[in-house]
Amino acid sequence: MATVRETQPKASSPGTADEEWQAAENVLTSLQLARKNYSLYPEDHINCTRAIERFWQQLETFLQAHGNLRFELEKDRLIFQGGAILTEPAEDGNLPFTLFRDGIQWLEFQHGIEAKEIEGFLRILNNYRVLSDEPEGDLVTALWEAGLPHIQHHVADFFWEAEPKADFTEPPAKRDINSVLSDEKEQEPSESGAVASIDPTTLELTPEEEAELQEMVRVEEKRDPTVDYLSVLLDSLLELREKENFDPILESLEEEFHDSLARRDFEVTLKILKSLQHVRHICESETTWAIPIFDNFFLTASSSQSLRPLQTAWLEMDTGQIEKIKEILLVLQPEAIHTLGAMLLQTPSLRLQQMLTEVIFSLASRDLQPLEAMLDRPEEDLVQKLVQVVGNLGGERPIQILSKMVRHSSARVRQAAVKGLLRQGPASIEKLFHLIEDEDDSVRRMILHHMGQERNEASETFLLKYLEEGKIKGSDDKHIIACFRILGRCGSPRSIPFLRRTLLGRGWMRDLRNSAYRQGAALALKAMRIKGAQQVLEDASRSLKPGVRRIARKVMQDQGHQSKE
Amino acid sequence: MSAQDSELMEFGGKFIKALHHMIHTVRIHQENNQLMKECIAQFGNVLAKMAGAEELEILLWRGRFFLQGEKLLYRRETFPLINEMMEYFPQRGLRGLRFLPTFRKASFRDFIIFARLLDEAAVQEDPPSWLERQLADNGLQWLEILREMDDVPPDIELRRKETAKQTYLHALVAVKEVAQKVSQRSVAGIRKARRLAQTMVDLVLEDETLLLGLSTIRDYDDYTYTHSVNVALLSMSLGRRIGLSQVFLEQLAICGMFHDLGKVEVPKDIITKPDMLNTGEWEHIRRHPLIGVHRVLRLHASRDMRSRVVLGPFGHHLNYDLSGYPRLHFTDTLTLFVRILRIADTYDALTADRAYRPRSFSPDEALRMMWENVGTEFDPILLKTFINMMGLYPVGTVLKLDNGELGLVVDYSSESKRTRPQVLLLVNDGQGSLRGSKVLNLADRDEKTGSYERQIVKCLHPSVLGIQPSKFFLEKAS
Repeated sequence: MATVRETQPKASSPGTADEEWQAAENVLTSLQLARKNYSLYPEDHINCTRAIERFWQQLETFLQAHGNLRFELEKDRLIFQGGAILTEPAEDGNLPFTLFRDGIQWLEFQHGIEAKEIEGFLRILNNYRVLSDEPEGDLVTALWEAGLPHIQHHVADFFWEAEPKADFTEPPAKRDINSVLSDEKEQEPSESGAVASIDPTTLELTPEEEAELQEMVRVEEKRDPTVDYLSVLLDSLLELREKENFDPILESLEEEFHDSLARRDFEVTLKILKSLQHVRHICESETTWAIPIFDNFFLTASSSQSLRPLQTAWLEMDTGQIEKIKEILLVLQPEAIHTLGAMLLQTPSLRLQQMLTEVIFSLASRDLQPLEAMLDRPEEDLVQKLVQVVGNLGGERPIQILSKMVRHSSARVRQAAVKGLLRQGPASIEKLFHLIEDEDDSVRRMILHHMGQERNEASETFLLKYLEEGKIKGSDDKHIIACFRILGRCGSPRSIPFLRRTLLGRGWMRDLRNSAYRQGAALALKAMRIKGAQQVLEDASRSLKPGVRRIARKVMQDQGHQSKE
Repeated sequence: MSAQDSELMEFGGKFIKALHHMIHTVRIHQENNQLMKECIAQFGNVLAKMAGAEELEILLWRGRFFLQGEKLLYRRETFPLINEMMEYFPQRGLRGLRFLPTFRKASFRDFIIFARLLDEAAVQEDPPSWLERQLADNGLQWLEILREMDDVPPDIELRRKETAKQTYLHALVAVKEVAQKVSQRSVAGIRKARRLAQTMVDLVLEDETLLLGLSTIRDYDDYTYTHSVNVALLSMSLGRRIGLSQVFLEQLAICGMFHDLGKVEVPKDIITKPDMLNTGEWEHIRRHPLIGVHRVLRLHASRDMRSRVVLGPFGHHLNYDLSGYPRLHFTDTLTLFVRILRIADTYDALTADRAYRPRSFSPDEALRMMWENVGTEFDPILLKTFINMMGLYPVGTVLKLDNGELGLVVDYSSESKRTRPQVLLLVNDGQGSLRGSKVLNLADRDEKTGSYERQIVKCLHPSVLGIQPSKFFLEKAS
């Protein structure tokens, strides 16, 4: 028969007792320090790791010398061998109270304890330093879950002290017991029992089933519940019909959205967004009150705050992740452009810039307003890129925006705006002609190049007037000559009289620009490649004015060379 | 427990480990192997340290090792090893071992013989008898085999039963508290529920039969809360059977406790309506999984906890083939937890006394009905495991025997064939009630004829007799 082993308390000399007490105090002191550092610093901070190491060493020293170390708990003190070894006010944050609060009656550190158990223990103490109202768990549940093999404790059942004693109810008997007991013996029983009709052999698991069962358990314990959780939330959304039940589900989905972005699980992020799109689509016909709620979700998801994790992590992404992020961004609302613009500025990678630009284009196609709002930003690079996007969009509003942006203070922005407008077609020259005198050479050249691409009456008219009036800013001969060249390319016989006057006329231009004008006129006539213009050149080559003659002959000479070539 | 006893417990774990190590090493190595010598020495040292000047007794009782009469506290890290030894002993018909003080004179070779004999006993026809003979023949007088539990440590059993009862009652309170708080749109934490779930996990690891006995509890005033706790107990028991870890068993228990949170708001007159439900009433019922999801989301719990617990309410009316309710659009598989809960929920519901049924199904009938729907409603492997766990006549079934006696199923004597249970005879106390008498093993056969001493004639639902089976489990047998 088993008997309970009787043990005697450990006999110790006064000297030993003092040493033991001191050693226990040392352990407590180092524990307190470790707790403090743990609460102040990150786990891997050197102050933290040193303090933990020190606590462990003190504990090991005690355990080696004196065996297991047990403390009893009261609300304001730790008791060791019958004496109060630590006394602190019964307040949140203090060690005795923290342990006592959750019902721990004694706590014991045992021989063989490892450093990771100490870390786990400190982590738990820190996490449950203060208990909120209606908590999920406490020190005791956390210690149980952690399963620290060398830290034992005993817990009092304090929750239930105030509860009235309960017991089980008895059912009303449906038959009189005597009648049940006096029933006559029944018919032949079967070998295993009259009513057991499940063949026991069919219940035996085959080896394959055993293996499958083990696999089920293994998979379940490793599985991330996120996908199942999302499916439950989404299914619930589709089946619930009241707003009050809808809200917490959508809040949970929002939480999942943020969490998945933060941990870079973009597969999940995308699943959430696409699924919600699908749910929204179904709700359009069945639950119309829900539409604004969905729209609000997407709006929030598109905000800078929501997308902040992307901004910080974005530059470390691999190709696969980038592709996923692109898919995610394309599902968002145009408001996301605010964040995407910032990301555009951050990345030096042309590939990433390209991707972002494509996304911004797609979002802006749905609503231009967020992009437009960003065009007032001071960052020139950003505005230039955004103007490029606008330039690729069609429609009246983009043209209006570009027309405004051609007057931007930045030459690069003006260039981008010009390009955009020029893409819209020849009618735009009316809005752009003033840029022929833009301070930026490249802008001027763009305008002229565009005008000179083909014969065009409007371009010819603007240039003729510009040159005839002679109110050209600055004294840039190159610019004058370039204008004449373009006139030649876009012009018609209508311009010949002016060109003739300019080349052959006397005293028409009284200043030093005579030469530039004459040269320009000659080049224009050459570029026209029509009979009337050629005739003027020939006339000029026979002019009495040596300057006129020289200019005409040179142009004709060049023309001849070009013909031979 | 004193500090000295906790030291004993620490060495107890070492003892089991050393015994396990010795058995395995002797099995595969030769006598002159260095490893063999080391592990034998280690075992001897641990044994000597623990025993001191006395004998040492290790006992396996109700799924727990006891050392010198004290329950061995298991460290989680040694649990797989402990589990293995808990199978090892019954395979050899052993309930325990007693090392007499003379073991100190045992030689190195003696321990090797001891370990080898233990191993070989498993394949003998009558392992404990064979072992006793072999020990005597080999002069191993320092070791005694403990075959039967002659005397159950009464205080231990009573303590455990009282803990189990209180845990159950407190779990009811905890579930009710949370349900009422979420129903009133207040914040509800699950601290108490977690504490209780963890205690239930510890209990189910110690004594599954006792927990299964508790799962027969019915509250005839308010079905929902006892049902929730029963589902938790049944789910945990099944989870333990298939080898889920303790942390997952806790989560499963929480899932079970809160799986019917949505039903709390279904009007009671619908739940207790004896006739067929009309369309609107049925819609109320069909919505309760979704309302349950909503309520779980309102719990003051971490996202990790909510993401697991929410599966219970949502999925417990979904069948293995994905039929059932609620309607699915995104869900295309059922998790293990949901499949377990489905089985537990159905079993408890079938065996409960419900207004809309003319009679309750006895536990064995319930299992038969469930078996008919294996593969469609229930996962086949899990249902097989569940039925094997419960036995063909689950704990709490009342059996009418061929001699007119009534017996309440309280246990099974053999793990391998749960077809012939142990029953507590119920006798008329002369005042219109029943009381427990002695325990009979229906697997016992007549020595002369070889046929079973008792035959099962009929199964009855406990409510027919007006009894709570759990009362008999929790009381000291007379």
